[in-house]
Formats: sequence, structure tokens, C-alpha cells
Amino acid sequence: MNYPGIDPCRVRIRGLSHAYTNAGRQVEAVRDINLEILDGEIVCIVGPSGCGKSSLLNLIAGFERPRQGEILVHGHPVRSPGPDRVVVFQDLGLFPWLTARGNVEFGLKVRGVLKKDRREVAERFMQMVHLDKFMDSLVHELSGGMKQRVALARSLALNPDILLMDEPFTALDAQMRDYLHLELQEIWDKTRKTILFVTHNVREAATLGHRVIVMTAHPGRIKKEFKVDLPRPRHIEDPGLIEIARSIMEELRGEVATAMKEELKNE
Amino acid sequence: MSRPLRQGLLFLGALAFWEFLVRLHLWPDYLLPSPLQVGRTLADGLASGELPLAIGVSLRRTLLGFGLTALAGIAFGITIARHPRLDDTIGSLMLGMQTLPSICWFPLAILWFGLSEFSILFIVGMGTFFSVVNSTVAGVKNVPPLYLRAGLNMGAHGYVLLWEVVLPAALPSILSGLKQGWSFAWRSLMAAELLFVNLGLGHLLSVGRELNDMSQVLAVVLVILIIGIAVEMGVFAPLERHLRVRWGLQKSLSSVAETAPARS
Repeated sequence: MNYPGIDPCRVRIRGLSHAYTNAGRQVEAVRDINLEILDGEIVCIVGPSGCGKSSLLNLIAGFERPRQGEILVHGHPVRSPGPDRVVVFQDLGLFPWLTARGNVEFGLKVRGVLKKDRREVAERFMQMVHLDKFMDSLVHELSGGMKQRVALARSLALNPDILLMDEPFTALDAQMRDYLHLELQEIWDKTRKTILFVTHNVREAATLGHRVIVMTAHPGRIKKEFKVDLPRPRHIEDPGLIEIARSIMEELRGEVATAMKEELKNE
Repeated sequence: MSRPLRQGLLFLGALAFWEFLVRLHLWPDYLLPSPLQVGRTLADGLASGELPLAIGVSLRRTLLGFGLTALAGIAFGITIARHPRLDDTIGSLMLGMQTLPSICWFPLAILWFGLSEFSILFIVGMGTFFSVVNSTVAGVKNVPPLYLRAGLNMGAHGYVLLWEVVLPAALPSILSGLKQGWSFAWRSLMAAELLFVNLGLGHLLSVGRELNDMSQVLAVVLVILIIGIAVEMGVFAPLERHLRVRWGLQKSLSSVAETAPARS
């Protein structure tokens, strides 16, 4: 929906370029990225490994400052990490000294929310990820899929403007991943969060995204954008989806080859 | 066989061996008294109030010296770990200082503070301080960056990040430093009390030597040993176990042991 005077874009990225120093060498991560993410949209970014897709996510999260260009979230430039842009990390970063509940409540506690209200919020989101029976479990007692869901609940509890997901399902087995794809769509349906989802799995991207953005190999630029107009909830095996995934894959294949060549050359 | 039973048997075995040595009459009574004799001295000392007083004084000194310096050591360690320049300079100095037995501070303490209670606390504190500082520095520096990122991302900054993320994440390392610091403190105290003429268990030990009373010497040694073991088993072991269970280290260790292939 469009309201006059209100930017319909959650995230607006203009002319973004970034490089970092690795072992004394300048490595160009992304070059001239222009991207707009609408309110309540799921945008997936795919690209060969090392294409800077994680860098892009870190820049939006505010862990790094861009060398060039700007990132606006709700019209405000990103200066530092903050709970309006919560990251679901690939390695989760759940705190092992806290219970599942403690992890979900963490951001609220930091924000100074009262204990009673914290409990309520934690319970609501643990229910949303179907883990309300595991509130008081310790992190190491949970399975990989459960940990992933706790991390999701922990992020949602902060009620962020945008959820940044960095290959969150990579470490899971295929069945669990399928299941979480459905669950994430269900959660999106309930919360209508804006989600930026980085992955190297093309089918995953097509399943989740309203749009899938293909990035080039090093340095990362936006190569092509695909719109996925299929009804939800989608399943990774849906025929229409496989069709779209194939054309995305075609676009990506050349980039993967380039990335491989470059890696071999460097060694 | 249950663990307490095994430990009890070991203890009885040691007593029996001691009694056996005494019965061989290789050494005269006044050099190697029997367990029963030492037990009687122990009971007399407890009844007369002499031992409880000494235990009280020694424990108070350790707790005070250990407690205050441990707190200071944790605070100092965090400061060092968070400033690379301090870590390069003072950090390596701290590592060096840890190798100095704290009783070496004895002459300095006497000259600076005289034969006072503060001198003893100073020596005990010097035993504690460096191991707590060093383990805190190591613990804070080893906090996985992912935890810091996650904390920052959820809105924790500055002192909140320190209190809610850095300290809990560094706690296992800090605890092992506290444990080491405690044992250094206890040892330094005994050494200091042997040299000072001023109450405490170490003092009783030195009185025993002066009176040629081997039975008292052994009784006091037993008390010192028992207190050391009691603190280890009653305070540090449960704390460490609690941490291991919480972090899931206990489980992984035992399950690794269970699934480890048998050596051929």
C-alpha cells in the first residue's frame, strides 16, 4: 500500500560499494549495488560463494560501514548495529549460558522491558515456532532445527523492521530445511516482516522469495532479478517453482564457474 | 562400589598404612606419632578453642585477601582485555608476575606495612591477583566474536554488553582463575603465618615446631589439608559442574567417552 509522503521502501540501497582488508590485501566485496526492498517483502539473494552477499547483509546490519554509497532503512542511514535490523546468523550465536527462554528474552531485557512482559512476549514467539514446551531447555539440549527456531523466535521477539537471514538453514538436513521453509512462510504470513534472505541454494531462494536477486562473482554486483509470483505456502518440490529455479540456476552457473576459476588462480 | 565408599576406603587404607609404619618403630614416637595420638591432639585443640580460633583467623584472612583482590583482579583483567595497548604492555607484565611466588613479597610487605594484619592480606592478595587477572584477560579475549555480534545486534552496548554477554561468556575461564587464585591465596597465607608470630594455623604449625610437638604439627597439617579439600569440593567443584552442565560440556565429554572406539 502506498501512503503519500511515506516511503514504501523499508530498505533503500544506493550506489553501494565496499572493500575490506584481508591479510594486508584489499578485497573488493560488492560494487555499485542499487536495491530497494519493499515493506513486508521477502527478498532472497543468491550468488557464488565469496560474491559478497554476506558482506551486503553485514553492511545493512551495521557491523561494517560502507566505503561508498548509502543504505537507508526507513529513510534513515545505517550507522551501527541495532535491534531494528536483526540478523539470524548462520552459526546462530545463541548464548549457551541461557535457556531457550533466556535467549528469546535477551533483547527485551537489554531494552529494559519488565520481566512479566518479557515472559509474555517470549511465550508468544516460542509458540509461533512451536517450541513452547522447550522454554526452559538449555541450548545444548536442543536439536539443530530447534536451535534454528529459537534463533528465529529471539529475532522476532525484538519486533525488528527487517529480518536479515544469513544462510540460516545451511547446516540442517533436507527434511528439516523443508519444514522450516514452510514454518518461515507461515511466520511471515502472521507477521508480514520484511525479510532479506541470503543463501547459495537457488531452490530455497525461489521457495521463499517474492524476488530473487542473482549476484555476480567477485566483486558482487546485481546481475539479474527474478520475480516469483506463485501462491503461498510454497513447497520446494512445486513444479512451477522448479521451473523458475532452473532459469535462476542458468543465470548463476556462469558466475559459479568464474568464482571457481578465480579461487584456483589465487592459490 | 559407590564413590564415597571408594574414597572412604582409600582414607582408611592411608590411616592403616600410617599405623603400620608407627608399629615398625623405625622412628621414635616424638618424630612419628600414631594416628590415634594425632587424633587426640586434634580433639584437644578443638576442645580448648585454640584450633577453632586459628581456623577462624586464617579463614578470615584468606576470604578477605582473596575476595577483595579477586574482585579487583576481574575488573582489572576486563580493562586490560578491552584495550589492546594495555594488553601489549601491562598484560605481559601480569603474566610475568604470576610466576613470582607471592611469599617473595614478604620482605617488602614487612618494610612497607610492618608486622601488621595488612601485610598478611597484602601477601595473600598478591597470590590471588595475578592468576585472576590473567584468566580474566584470557577469558574476555576468547569470547567468540559471534556472541558479541549477536549481543550488539540485539541492542546491547557498552556496560550492558559487558555484563550480559562478555562476562557470562568468559565465566568458565574466570572461574578457573579464581580456583587457582584461591589455592595460591591459601598457600601464601600459610607461608606468611609461619613467618609472622600472629595467630592463624601457620602460626600453630610454627609453635608445634618450636615445642618439638610433632603431634601438633601433624594435626595442624591435617586441618590445613582438610580445609583445602573442603573448599575445592564444596565450592569450586560444584560451581564448575554447574557451568559444565549449563554449557553442555559435561554431556559431550561423557558421550564422547561412550562412543569412542575401543583401542585395538
